[in-house]
Amino acid sequence: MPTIIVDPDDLSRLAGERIGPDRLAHFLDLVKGEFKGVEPDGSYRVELNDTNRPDLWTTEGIARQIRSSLGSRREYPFFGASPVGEIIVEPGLEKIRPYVGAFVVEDLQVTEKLLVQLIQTQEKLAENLGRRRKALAIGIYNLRRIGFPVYYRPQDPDRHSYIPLGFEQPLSLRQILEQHPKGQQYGQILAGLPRVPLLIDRNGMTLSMPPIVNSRETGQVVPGDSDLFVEATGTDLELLVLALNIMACDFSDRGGKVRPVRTRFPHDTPLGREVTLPRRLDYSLELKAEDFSRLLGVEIRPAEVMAVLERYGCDVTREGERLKVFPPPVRADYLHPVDVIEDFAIARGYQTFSPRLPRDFTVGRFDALSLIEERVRELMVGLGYEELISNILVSRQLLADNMLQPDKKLVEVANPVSESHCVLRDSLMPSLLQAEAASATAAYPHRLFECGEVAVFDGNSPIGSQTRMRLGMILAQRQAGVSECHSDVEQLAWQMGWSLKVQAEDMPIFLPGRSARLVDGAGRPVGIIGELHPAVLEKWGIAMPVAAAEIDLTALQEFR
Amino acid sequence: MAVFQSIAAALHPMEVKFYHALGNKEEFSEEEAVRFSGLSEQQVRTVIEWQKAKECLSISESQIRIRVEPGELALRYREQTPEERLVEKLKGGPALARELMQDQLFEQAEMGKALGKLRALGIIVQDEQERLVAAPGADLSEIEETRRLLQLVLTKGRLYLDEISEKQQARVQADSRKRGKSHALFRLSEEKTRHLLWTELGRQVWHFLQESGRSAEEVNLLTPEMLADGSWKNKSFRRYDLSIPPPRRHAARKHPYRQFLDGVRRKLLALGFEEMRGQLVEPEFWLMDALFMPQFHSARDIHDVYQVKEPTLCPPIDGQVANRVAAAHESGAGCQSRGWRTPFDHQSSRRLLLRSQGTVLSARWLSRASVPGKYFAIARCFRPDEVDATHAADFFQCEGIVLGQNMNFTTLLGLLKLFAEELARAKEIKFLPAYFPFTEPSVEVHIRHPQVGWMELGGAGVFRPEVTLPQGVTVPVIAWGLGLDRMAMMALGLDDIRELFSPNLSRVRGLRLPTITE
Repeated sequence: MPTIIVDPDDLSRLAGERIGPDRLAHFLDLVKGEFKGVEPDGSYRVELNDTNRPDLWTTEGIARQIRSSLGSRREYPFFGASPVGEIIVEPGLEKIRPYVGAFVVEDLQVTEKLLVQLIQTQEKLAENLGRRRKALAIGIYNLRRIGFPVYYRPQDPDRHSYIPLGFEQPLSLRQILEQHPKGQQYGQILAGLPRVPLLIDRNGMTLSMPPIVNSRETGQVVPGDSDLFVEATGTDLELLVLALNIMACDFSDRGGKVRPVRTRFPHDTPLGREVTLPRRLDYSLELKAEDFSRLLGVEIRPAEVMAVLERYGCDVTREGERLKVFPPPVRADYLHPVDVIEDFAIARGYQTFSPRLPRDFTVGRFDALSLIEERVRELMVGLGYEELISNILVSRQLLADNMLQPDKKLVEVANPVSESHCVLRDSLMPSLLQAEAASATAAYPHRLFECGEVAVFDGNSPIGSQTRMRLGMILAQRQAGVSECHSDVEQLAWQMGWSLKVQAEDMPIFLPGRSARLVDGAGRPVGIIGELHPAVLEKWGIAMPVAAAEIDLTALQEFR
Repeated sequence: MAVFQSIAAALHPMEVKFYHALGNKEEFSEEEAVRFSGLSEQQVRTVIEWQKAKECLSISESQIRIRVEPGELALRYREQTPEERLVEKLKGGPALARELMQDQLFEQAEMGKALGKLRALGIIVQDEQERLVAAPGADLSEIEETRRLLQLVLTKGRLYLDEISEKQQARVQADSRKRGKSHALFRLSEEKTRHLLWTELGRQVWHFLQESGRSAEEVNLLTPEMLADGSWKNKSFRRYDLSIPPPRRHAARKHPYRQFLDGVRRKLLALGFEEMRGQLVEPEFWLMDALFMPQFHSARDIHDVYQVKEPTLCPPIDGQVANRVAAAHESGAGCQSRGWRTPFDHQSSRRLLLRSQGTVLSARWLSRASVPGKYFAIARCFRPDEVDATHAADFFQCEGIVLGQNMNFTTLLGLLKLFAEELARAKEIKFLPAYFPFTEPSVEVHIRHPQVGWMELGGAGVFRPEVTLPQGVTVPVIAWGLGLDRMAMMALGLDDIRELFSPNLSRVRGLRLPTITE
């Protein structure tokens, strides 16, 4: 979720009204924004929760929504205007980075503050919407240094060079990819390509190697500039149109005069071979007032829909009962009529809807395994065991090494954040032993248990593992022995109505001759019991004898 | 109550015995206290310490007494002294001095010394052939006296010189060396004896004890035997001082965090919800695709979900549901939607992930749910966050769905209000717009907590048609989720989420139970 910096004065200026901290809270609801704090210079830090609304990731965008709700929507005359320049796409980019588009903006007053906002917008759009520049990247240039037409061409990276931003000397495209910080950061996008994209003007002046870095000569915007060339390249034409529309509206809101640029493609695009940007998004949604009533649960009339949605930035036409909604040019996120209905509800205000209880009668029911678990826990407490609750995502050390099975197959995470949390536990015993190891100073005896889920590695399962509900119990005290633990298990089994049998079996973690497999009446394994081997206790750093048992409640339920 | 009364009331039975034995004496020694009270030396010392501390006893000047203890030879001569040995040997008839001195039990020097002594006493004499014989009719009382004294000291372990006759004293003196000398029958040492005096307070306590008739025959425990034979009727039972803190015990109990979760589950059951259960590992299809999360959504990023290392993919997900989900993504076909308008990647659908959100259970339940129906799950979820005070390695999410012909935004708000009131006892509630990829409209519910102020209780919304229609569900479905961790931490008075999963038993025992809410 993008977080942006908003200068309150800037916001007020753009919104056309003073927006103090008190009013901001109200307006942030309108844009699903969250106030996150104040920067040292007095700016607000705002998080935008709607990942489908890139138009709101800028101060201009938030101001636009506020202005609209205050009843002073602005129109953008540059949509449909004639182009003032042209980009010519040369063949060979279709498989590399097929789309490019641009517009120019004039009579803008570029200041330090504007530059900060500009860079923020460019970054949020390219990083969040453009998936780290892969699908979309944006370049901004000083228009005065560029001559139309601009060419977008595939270029051998060893046969062209220019001075990238932040450097003094010309570098070849390959050198830029290898040496320039942006090349190192984004070079992966162009890795291995024999030709890379290049933007170059009529006079042979390089604009940039998209999506890596601008030329220092044309692509360095400084305070005092007034006329800019704004281009976007990428792999998704729809995103590209949306991003340029957003930027064009933003510049226009700041007083710039936006003029379209036409792009000629040698290949087909979803919008044809000649694309002039910015352009309106050619989609609309059809609804009836009753759709609003049904989803929102209150009676909504067409006139109200029209009034409210227009205040939220949409255009609405009406033919009898049918309403046709045209989203603003900066919004491609209306996928379904329900999206329109939500915006209507937001613009109307959630507080205008009175909560009403659902009336349907339904029967409450616990899951069958939960019922067993609950009863087992009840009995364990009755037997004097204290309940624990542990993490399921733990370290390999805990499950494998400390249990003398270093090569054990476990459900392992491919991208762990830390070694302490990288495998799903496949048994509760390690969790309990970990607790015992951490509790040597707690008054004895320790009778501990946990009921909970484990994930057992299973090569035959389609998902590679089985989630099971287990009961684990340990008994630690001066004279802890398997007999006492066995008595408790027997009592539990009797109370639960399980026909558990004990089959002596030596296991590495238990003292030889003091462990057994627990099986059900039909001889199917459902658990283990034993006295921990001193070698295991030593590994855990436990200085007290421990007897333990673990029972698979899922198995007992399945076998029933 | 006067001081002596409160002291008397709280006397330990040992103290009462002590008073009864010694209360009439002006002054007494520790040794007398032992003798008269029937308490052990250790008990007497304890009682003296207690009484001293209560200022009932004072200690007078010490008096020196000579203590008699078995010397090294006492143990060696436990069975027989060399003198007795000689007398015994000569019973068999006359013998040469040389023969007599050769002995298996005693050394020659010892025998020689004993022989000299017996000859001096006239018990052994020489016959005409220069052999040694027992003098007929000789007085053996000397040997017998020594034996008696020796037995006395050996039996008692110690006695005092002033306790025996003067004659005996002389004998002990003769057969002993002062402290340090080991080769003697007796060892003598000086002992300082403390003499104890009742104080005025002590005397008051004693008088009060006599007046109140508190007997020394008090007992601590009522036993089954007393009940069986009725002897309890003749006993008086000691009063206990219950204001003294008892030793601490620990209740075996369900973990307070689980008790909190159990409370939530019971509440949801009471509200008519049925429980769902699932797996810790899920394919991306169910975790995300089925919930209409765009395949390029940032929440799918490697930084936001845990991927399983082996196997990385599940088998291809086929069937009508899978096809309809794919169509919903690509073009919105079948849902009157525009879809995400990007090709659906069937491969990424198969990626295996740790459950990152409980909503996966709702997604899986849709196709088998009843209408009307209400469902919930409290599911463990995993996200790759650095573990800190607000992020646990894994955490619980409480999620659910409500299906019904008449479900809508207004009833959704009604349900959330019910949750806020029933689960969080909230009096002030507000609803804010929210964004979730799978619901529209979406809402966050915030409640005013008396201490913390406004806080988020949960999020909810109406499932998008792109979520419900591919599963064959045609009625509106409300989806909701509640943030339990924060509520649990407040209920248990914690400010670090890691404490909820602490392995430290002392900490767990120290957790307070969640407040009972009806």
